Amino acid sequence: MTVEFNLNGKAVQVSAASESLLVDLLRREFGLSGARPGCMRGQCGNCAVLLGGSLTRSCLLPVFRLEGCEIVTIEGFVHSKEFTDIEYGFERAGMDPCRFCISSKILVAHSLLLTELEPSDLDIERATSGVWCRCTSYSSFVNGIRHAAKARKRRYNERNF
Amino acid sequence: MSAISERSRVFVPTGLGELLQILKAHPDATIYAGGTHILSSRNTPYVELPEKVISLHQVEELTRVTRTVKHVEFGAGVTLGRIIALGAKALPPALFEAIRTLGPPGIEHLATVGGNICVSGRLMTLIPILYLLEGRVELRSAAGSRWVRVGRVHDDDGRLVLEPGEVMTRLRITPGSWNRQAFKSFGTIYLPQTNPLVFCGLAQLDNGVLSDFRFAITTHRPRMIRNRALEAELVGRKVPLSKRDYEAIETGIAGVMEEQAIPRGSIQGRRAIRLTEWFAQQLR
Repeated sequence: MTVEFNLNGKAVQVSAASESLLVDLLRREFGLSGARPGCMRGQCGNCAVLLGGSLTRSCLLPVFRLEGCEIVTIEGFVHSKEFTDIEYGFERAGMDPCRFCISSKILVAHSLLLTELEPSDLDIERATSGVWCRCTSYSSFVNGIRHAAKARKRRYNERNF
Repeated sequence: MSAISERSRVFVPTGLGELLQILKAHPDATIYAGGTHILSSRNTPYVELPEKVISLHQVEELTRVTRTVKHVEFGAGVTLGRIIALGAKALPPALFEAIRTLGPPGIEHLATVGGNICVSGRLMTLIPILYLLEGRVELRSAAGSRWVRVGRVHDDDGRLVLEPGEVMTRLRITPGSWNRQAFKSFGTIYLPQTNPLVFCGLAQLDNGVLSDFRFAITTHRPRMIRNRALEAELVGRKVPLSKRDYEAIETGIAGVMEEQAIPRGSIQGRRAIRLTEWFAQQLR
């Protein structure tokens, strides 16, 4: 089947079997390898992308669900201002995730800060529960999110003035 | 809109009328809502879709949320993420907690209310709390519609009671005015070895007297556990409950669990008793 959708700000068209999953399509058709195929059951969180701005597992998105959707992968997200907040936060916390899960951790942090600029411990715990990779310490991940939240608030305040 | 691929035929209706017509023509088709159950319970890295699939994601009528004085109605295709976005104040706390604990972010923007209720063979996380909140679902077909209680969507063997050509379109709940609500979930329903158990409790107190008390428990088995006789026995009692009441709770819960072949001394049996007692202790 052929579907048209928006990928990282560009309209794209792709023909694939309806069983094909987005995580495979991104690699095979578009050469985007930031979303990693992990458990392929929507549990490990390494294949995270943004679907219409919301965090989603690309291994749970078959091609027929993509028609008219807006997908942002880590490759598109790194060009946004929001990315700079997360990058700053992670650096401040001395967080250095492995190459396998870094894209998911960035998108998880962004997704949380979209809904809550002052996340509680419970909010952070819940958000981070979606990424299973424990390459970094949990506390540095939490600190990274807190620093990113401060950076984003500061940026928003500067913009308002 | 339809498309034919090598293995399966996927229909993507864009309206309820079109959906019902497709269902009439293909009553054996598999309904695909969020797909989280279908895709996460597979045992292969690739997807094997059924021969015919109807995807609901473009049916706008299924994504509406409406609220009246007495009821809240969700379209069957409303995602759990959208319900969370409504906020904790818009929903009964136990239902909100059930939805929040259902899965990590990333799942909630795909998983739908209808999908959670309509998974065959398992009573998923939302079923017990929706049951206690007198949830009813609308089942529609090209021939008409009917409303069914959430507790009756599955038969005793866990099979869906939907007729061929029927689809769940709406869920209606009555939030009511409960003084105490509780929702606790342990383990995962997908892995029986985690001894999964979901406990929900609702209670209403009037001047220190228990005027309504309901609880429901589900495990990985296809039957809901509820002891109406025990609930009726506790109504009218003063809180805090007496030692005799706690003994009645322990005996009553152990009895209904054993009817489901869950021994009193098993992890699930002990959890069920302790959780009901814990909920009773909250009634002050």
